[in-house]
Amino acid sequence: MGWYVARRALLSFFVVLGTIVITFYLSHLLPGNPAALYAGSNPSPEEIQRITQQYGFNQPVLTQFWIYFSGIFRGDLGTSTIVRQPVSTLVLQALPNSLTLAAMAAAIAGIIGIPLGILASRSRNSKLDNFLRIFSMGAVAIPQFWSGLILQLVFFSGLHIFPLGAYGGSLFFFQLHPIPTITGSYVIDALLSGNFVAEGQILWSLVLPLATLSAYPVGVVIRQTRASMIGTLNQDYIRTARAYGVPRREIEMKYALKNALAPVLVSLGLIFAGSLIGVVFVEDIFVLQPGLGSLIRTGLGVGTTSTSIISAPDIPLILGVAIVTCVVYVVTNFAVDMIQLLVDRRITV
Amino acid sequence: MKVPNALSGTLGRFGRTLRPLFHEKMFVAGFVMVGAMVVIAVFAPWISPYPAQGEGQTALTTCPQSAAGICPPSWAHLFGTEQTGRDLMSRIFFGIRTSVEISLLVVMLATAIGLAVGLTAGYFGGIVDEALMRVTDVFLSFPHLILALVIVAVLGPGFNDVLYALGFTWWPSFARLARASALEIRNRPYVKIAKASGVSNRSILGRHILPNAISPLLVMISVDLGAVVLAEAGLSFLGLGVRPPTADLGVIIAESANQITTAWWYALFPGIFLTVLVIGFNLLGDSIRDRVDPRLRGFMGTSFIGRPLAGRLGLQRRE
Amino acid sequence: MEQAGAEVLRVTDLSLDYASPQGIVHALNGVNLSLKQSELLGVVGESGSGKSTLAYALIRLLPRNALVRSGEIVFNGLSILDAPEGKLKDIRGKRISMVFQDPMTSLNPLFKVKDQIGRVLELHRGVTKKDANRMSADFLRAVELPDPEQVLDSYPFQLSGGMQQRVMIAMALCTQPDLIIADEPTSAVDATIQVQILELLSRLRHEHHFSMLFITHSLEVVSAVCDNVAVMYAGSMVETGSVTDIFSSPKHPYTQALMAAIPRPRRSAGEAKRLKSISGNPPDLLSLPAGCKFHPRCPHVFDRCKAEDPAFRRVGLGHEVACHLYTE
Repeated sequence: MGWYVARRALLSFFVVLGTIVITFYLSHLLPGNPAALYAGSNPSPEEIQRITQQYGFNQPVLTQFWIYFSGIFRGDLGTSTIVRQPVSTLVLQALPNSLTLAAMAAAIAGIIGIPLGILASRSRNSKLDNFLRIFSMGAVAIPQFWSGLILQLVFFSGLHIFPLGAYGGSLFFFQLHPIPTITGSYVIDALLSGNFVAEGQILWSLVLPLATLSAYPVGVVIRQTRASMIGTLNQDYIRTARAYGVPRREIEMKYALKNALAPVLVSLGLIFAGSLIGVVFVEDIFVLQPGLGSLIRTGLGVGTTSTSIISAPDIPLILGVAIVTCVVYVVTNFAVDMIQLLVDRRITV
Repeated sequence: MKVPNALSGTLGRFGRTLRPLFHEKMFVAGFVMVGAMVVIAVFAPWISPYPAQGEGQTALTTCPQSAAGICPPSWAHLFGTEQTGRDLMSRIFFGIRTSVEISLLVVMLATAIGLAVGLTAGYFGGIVDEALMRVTDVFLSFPHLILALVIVAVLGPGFNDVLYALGFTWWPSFARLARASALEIRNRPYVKIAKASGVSNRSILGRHILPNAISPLLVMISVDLGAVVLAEAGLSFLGLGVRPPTADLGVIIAESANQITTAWWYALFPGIFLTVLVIGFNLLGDSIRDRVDPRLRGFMGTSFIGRPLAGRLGLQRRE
Repeated sequence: MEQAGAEVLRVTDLSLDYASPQGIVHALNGVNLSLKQSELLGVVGESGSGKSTLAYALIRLLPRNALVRSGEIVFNGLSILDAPEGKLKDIRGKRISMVFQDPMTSLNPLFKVKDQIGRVLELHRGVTKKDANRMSADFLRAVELPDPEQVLDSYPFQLSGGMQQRVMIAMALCTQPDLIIADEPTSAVDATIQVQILELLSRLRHEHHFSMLFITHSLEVVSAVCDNVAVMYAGSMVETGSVTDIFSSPKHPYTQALMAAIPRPRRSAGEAKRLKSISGNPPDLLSLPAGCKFHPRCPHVFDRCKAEDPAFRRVGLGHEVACHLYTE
């Protein structure tokens, strides 16, 4: 079994390596003039020279790759052309908040989705079941960047509940309620530092963003739980339980559930990883800074949601975010597989 | 023994699968939705109230609410107007056209790449298979949107760039499926006979493997179309989509974000159409998939982002 | 002392259909059955003959799309088909237990053996968890499992096929039921284990005095353990009788064909024995032929067979056949 873990770890490492190779290709080899791309907008010739030196664009390909790769290994993701700070710093600032949001979305998906899925499986083809199926179809299809706007429209403009955006409801929130930086995630730090008032306001401001973010996962979880329960209830061992007169409630809640939930819980882990993309949209719309979404928006050359053509995207920043996101994704996949291995002792390698 | 004409057989089977589907509510609903959208897409220049504006011509409509020309719905403009006074309905119709067009092209590109990679890997096996599958794994572990984002960021926005970006993001799942098909088909009697009789590999691939591999791929295509539409709109929303003045639903929604508190129509209508389009594709895809082979449910998922890595290492797992 | 001869189970004219997307499947057609105390009855038939459906009907564990068209099932005076669900819960696992074909899938993979058997004991014999553990161990010993404590603490997948099946038998036994229904209990295990399981069941039956309905497709298994045999074809009983009667003088052409199809070793080196199979195709339960359902494959078919469904006729003591060769 140790071999298996090692193989998986190696595979994960290769995937990350492959990611780095791809980003290298896209940034160094594909563009006609990588130096210009890296230099940002309206670069002066001296700037281009400096950039060429810094990233080694005039060197042979392998050397370039080595510079690139070793840099990443050291944690140096380059310097943002727009913000003019090391990318790694920016990303590390943004990561905890984004991860928290994704985790919260996954948790909500589980808490809401699993019971609903069980309910749906219990009363197949009833009104409730059909309603839930339609609901989850819709939840999965609605674009997150749109539903967020609509929620803002309905709740903020219309009903005047919930703030329009930003942690705590205002971009100046943390000047009024300073919170120590422990983990880097506002939600966690406010809690850890005992600042419950601030925590409450932060959570209140996150209601709409999380509603937007969790819609898709909830839909997926409902469908999966329902399918898993129905599939499990068709298994032979459930038939045995019935043949031995075990009460239906008990069969469902104890025997079937344990078997049915396993794949659903696994997918929650994947949902967490997948939510990172939704986080980008949600952080953008609700102006939740710092976060990966805001970074991407910054990196794309504009300060707030708008549609101006990117004239000079911040390549190091975007690449940095991409690489980090991929690493999180790969690590999560790996963790999920390892947990599965531990939990379900039937899995043989 | 006559070698079956695989392609006509596949399409025939597919057609026969489709007809009874019309009895299923889900399929009909999806078909109607997609059908309506396709009609809009195709006939946009003719059914839009202001086709020129749909294509991008500005028109300063005046209304008391907005100097910029963003006006609420009125008899002249049923959905209101967007910035620079363009009729929103026309913009939406042309935007649907863009979405449908790009999505279909993306899927075709992804299928082409996926088939090439997957069939080669599955048919030849061995090192070729290993190598190609490792590459596929790497791409598969990239969250879809992130990869597309990077590609477009580097290449710059524009129709073709979005097309390539999304195409290169989506091919891994098709490759996996194609590979599974190739593995299964190459063991069939008529293929073995062909090989033994010295038929060239390329010929076998083209005449036997390919047509039979297409059928499950068609199912996957229908399942994924919805996700592609969402991804494309998402990219446009971030500003990485087609260049203005081409209409695009994601772009319209992005433009509406700043005005959300004042111009409700601006955000509402494009989103509704986009959602209907995605739901329609999803309904179609899921009902086709359920009909053809419900077992594929685990394999193909429900157009969800990302597929687990472990499945590919032959990890025994209960679905 | 038990009353040998007291009837434990009687099935009268049971007909059952399944509603499927392709149409109505006539799974059982006028089945009659009688089972006495301590009797071991083997029900033999091909796949699709309805034997498993019959077994599940006896404890009314049928899928939603099943419809009982007619007939009665009486178990110890209780009408199974009419009884309220609560009463049936009392019977399932307690008065009638089942042993299933594939123990690997029939035992819950995520629960230990002690939890599964223990639960049955708690449920039907009202014992505490501690007592349940002790009793479970006793029953595991009864089914010849060495080291019961170890087995109790294991998950099903950690046991071999034979051990799993013994666990299933222990589970069936532990409530001291009146009737045990075994649905092809040896089909999923190796031949050597098969023999052991059969011997075990035989012995247990004599020790614990339960009746047994043994469902199988294999006549050899029947000859090894059963007292009486009932042969099924396409949802109907075609012949019933003691093992001796059926094996020495099978009357129904189908039974005869089954006998002939049993592979026998060559008696001498020079003798080439052909394998005899039954001609024709297995019955299509969606569209059964009119008259006797076996007539398309019967070597002795005549006109009456195609028109009229034969009724059961006595042809000897305890030996009945449904075949027009024996009517009039």
